[in-house]
Amino acid sequence: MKALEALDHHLKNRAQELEGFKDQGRKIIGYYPGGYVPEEIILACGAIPVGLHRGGEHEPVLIAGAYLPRWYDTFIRSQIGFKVLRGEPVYDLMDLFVIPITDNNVRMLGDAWEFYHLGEIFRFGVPHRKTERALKYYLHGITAFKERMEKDTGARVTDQNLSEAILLCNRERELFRRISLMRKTGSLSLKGSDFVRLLHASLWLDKRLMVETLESLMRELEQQTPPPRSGPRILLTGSTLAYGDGKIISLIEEAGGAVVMEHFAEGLRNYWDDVAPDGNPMEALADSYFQRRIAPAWFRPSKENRDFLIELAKEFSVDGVLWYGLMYRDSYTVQSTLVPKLMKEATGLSTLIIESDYDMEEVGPLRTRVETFIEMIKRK
Amino acid sequence: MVVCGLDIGAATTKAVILNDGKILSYAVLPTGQSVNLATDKVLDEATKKLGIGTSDFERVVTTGYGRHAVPFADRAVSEIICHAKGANFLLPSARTVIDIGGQDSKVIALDGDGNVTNFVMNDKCAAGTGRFIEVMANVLEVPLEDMGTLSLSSQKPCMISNTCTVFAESEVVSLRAKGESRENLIAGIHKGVASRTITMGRSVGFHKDVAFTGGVAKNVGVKQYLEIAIGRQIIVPEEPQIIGALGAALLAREGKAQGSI
Amino acid sequence: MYYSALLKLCGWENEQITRERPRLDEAFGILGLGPEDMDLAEARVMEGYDVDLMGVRKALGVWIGGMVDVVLSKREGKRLVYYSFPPLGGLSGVISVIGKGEILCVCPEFILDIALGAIFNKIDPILEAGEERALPPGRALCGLNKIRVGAVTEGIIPVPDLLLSSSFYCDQGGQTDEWLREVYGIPWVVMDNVMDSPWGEFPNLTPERVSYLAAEMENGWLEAAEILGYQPNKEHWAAYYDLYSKFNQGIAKTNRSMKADPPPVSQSNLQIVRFLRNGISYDRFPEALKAIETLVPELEARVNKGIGPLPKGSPRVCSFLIPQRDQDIAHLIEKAGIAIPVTFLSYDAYTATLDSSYTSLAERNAQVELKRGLYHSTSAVLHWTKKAVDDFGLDGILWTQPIHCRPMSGTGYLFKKAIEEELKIPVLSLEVDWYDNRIFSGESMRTKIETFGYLLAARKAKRELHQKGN
Repeated sequence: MKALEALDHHLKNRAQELEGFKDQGRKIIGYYPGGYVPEEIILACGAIPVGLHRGGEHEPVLIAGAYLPRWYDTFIRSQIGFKVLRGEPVYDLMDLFVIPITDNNVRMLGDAWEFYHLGEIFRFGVPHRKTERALKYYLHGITAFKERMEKDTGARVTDQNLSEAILLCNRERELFRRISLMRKTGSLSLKGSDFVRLLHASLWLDKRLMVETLESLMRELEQQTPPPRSGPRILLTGSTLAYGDGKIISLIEEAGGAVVMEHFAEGLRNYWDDVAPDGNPMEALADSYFQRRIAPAWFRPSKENRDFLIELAKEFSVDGVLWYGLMYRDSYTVQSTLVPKLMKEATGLSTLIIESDYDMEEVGPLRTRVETFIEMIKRK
Repeated sequence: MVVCGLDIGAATTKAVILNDGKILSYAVLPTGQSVNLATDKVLDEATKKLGIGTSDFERVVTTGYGRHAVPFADRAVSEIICHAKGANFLLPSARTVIDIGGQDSKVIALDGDGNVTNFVMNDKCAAGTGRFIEVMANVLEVPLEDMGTLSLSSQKPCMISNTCTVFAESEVVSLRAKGESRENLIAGIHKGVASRTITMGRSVGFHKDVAFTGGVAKNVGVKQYLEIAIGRQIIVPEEPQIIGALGAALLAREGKAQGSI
Repeated sequence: MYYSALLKLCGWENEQITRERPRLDEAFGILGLGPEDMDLAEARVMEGYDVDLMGVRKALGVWIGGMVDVVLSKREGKRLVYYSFPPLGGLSGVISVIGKGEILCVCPEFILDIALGAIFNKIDPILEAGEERALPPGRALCGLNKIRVGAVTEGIIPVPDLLLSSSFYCDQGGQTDEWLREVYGIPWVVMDNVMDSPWGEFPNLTPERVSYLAAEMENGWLEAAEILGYQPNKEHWAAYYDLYSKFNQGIAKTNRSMKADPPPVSQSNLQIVRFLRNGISYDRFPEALKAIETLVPELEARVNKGIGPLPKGSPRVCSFLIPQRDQDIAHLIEKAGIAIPVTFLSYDAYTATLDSSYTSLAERNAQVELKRGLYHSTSAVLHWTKKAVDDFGLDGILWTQPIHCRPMSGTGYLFKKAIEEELKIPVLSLEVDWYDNRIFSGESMRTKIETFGYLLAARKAKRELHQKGN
């Protein structure tokens, strides 16, 4: 598809582009992509948000072993590895790394980044429950973040520029929703792997460019005749699906399955709902990014997440659920033990639980599991 | 209709030839360094007694670790799917298959047609596999094939608390030095392997009849502790090693009959 | 009775054994603990702990009593509340006080890990049961949570009437409680907080941080009161604080004793006495108090005589937590001639810096909890460590780093470099599991620990030579 090819081209040039912006004095603000950093605040200051989400490779995990023990989430260890290896230009270009403190794995990333002088970080806390107190705490945190942004960029966040940023991000969210929801029916105009490419691109590329790309992609998709349905429809979920960690979707597609919906930290959570365009913009951000956000597995309780998965499975007429978790992300590991039974009871669907440590050796056994699972649900 | 199933494992390659649902012949040979060489050899071995050649096969389905490396295969199917099919053929009443091999272990739930309904697999930890038993047999200087019977004569299996092969090895050495009998140690080792399998398989369940396959299925000691833990008898089919290849051959037959790829 | 010898060894009086006999018969029956198990337990206690100290023996006895209590709780018609470790001080305590005799409020996994694990060596099947259900092996998950799930699903301990989750510190704990709720439908009370303090903020606390935790605690008290149908009044709180402050005074005294050279006892013994405040219920608390009040003069006597398990001048280190499932690591460290006068959880180093402007009960409580340093990330652990080195005259750090504990498993890694550079003292990091010893081997650490012992002793000798020369 033309729009997707254009995307690849922009991604290749992005690092250079960002360097250019830096030379002009604009700030590059990196952030941890769990869905809790309002990009709007960064945009309102004229700075450039970049969600750091590289993963899937073994070497960065290996190198991170000198900085943190093994017993932390693989994706988080990878971030340290990519930075230390200088393996990803964007990681070197950022002026600040914003880390919302959610669970212990993420907290440790912040500690390690600071301790080993990998760069400047900014923390704010995300409570693990949805109460009025918690919402206030979160608002307090993003307000401190806003003040930090103003200080670093010299810009002022006004109701107006913040509202404009909200409208822009809402437009992107709306387009993502519409494209994603096209997969509800039997048509598979867009492969799961392509949709994930879009999500990953949106973490790095200019927002306006993303909106244009998505609009042009929508036009292409609407004009196409979708290919006939083939292969079991899979709901893919888990902890983190990083940029460069394409193996699980490839394995599913190679085994004849089709990923019709994915629910990860850096994907669906961000586009499922809009920020209210009216009223106090900071409060609207807190409401959307915290209160109405689908609670991740480290929330207490996170029943919302399990119920949401069941709803998705039903809405998207899925044939099977594949849970792709990364090693040592403990709250997800424990939650994963509940999902198969609950999913079976609610929908009759089977769930395959898979874990990865970004290890080369894993691919063979992963392939066996995925192929078995696809075959198994085909024969139902 | 003559079909062939090939199971290319890390250690051994197996071929099973079926004609209209009856096993014509089979062969088992070490895989060695080359998958293609191994498949050629094992097919030679399997076909030579029959006076047919590989061109007589209507379909070939491969399974096992090397299944995607065989250019003339019509289809490559995971060993779990094939195992279920094969077990169902030999034991139509089987609804669970416990497979403990040299490198990995699996628990598979299947229906009356041999279709997989649930499964779980361990390939990261050696302590629940044949490797663990091999290491310990070495440490105790007992031939591998004697481990099972020695275990049966123990009244009091040792508790080996370490679940890591490396540490369990030193634990066994030190218990032996303290005077623990070989039989009790071996029984404890087998009990450990059985309990790790049970832990892994609990989410799948052990519904009867339970079949036991894989290299370790020949070990009567592990079988005994599995039975105690599950609370029922388990069945070891004859020639448990060829179950994967048999399943692949059955799928080959099925596939041609249904006309699917 | 086949258990009398063990219980007497663990500080029980004859009168108490006779009085509790029917309960002991029943509980040991349920747990499947027979005469052979008692013999083994006796041997483990004699070998593992400093049984010359009656205070230590009594503490062990209280843990066994606590195990009997929780196993029999439902059969005895009690209402049951489980809280997690680390507990948020206050709520579990006051429930314990108010519900004396009627509500049993305990941390069951702590009790079982010590009583059924350390003493009887029969906790492994329960750990396995927990792994089968909710916390798969090989993922560095916490043994305490495995014990909780395993013991409940195996019917060793009853399903409780309420779960108190203070699990902002521990993500696994929260998910484990959710697992239990999903399967058994248990009500819960969650007290949340956020560990987002910037590096270097601790030991200062921002007012927002204190008030957020205080608000969560207050809310927790209200919700628990509603569920249990009671209302704690001033007298209840006073009774709780009275008991617990007496206990804490005892702990402070033991810490003072541990500043002596040589320390009068091996740290792992103190640990099981100290943790009584984090595990058992009010019903057994007078016994716990007796244990520590017996121990304090015993330690002081040893200090006066200048005796301890190690000779004077032995190198001194601090640790995080000594593995409590088995005493093998503690013994290896001692055999290597290394003394541990203090651990991160033994010493509240910042009580002198408490801000008296906080007036509400919840705020005062919240402040004390936050000043412990547990909830402030690596920089707080670093700060504490530097203070401990000063306050206890330490020669090095032997960081017992947990494989299973995400809040803490990175700290030792990170600060090894900082301590070695800033304080110029050696740091050894040991990767262990405090509650479960199936995945690591004490033996395999012997060489590391012995070498560290030599290193520390040699450095100390060299330093003393230099000082003498001046």
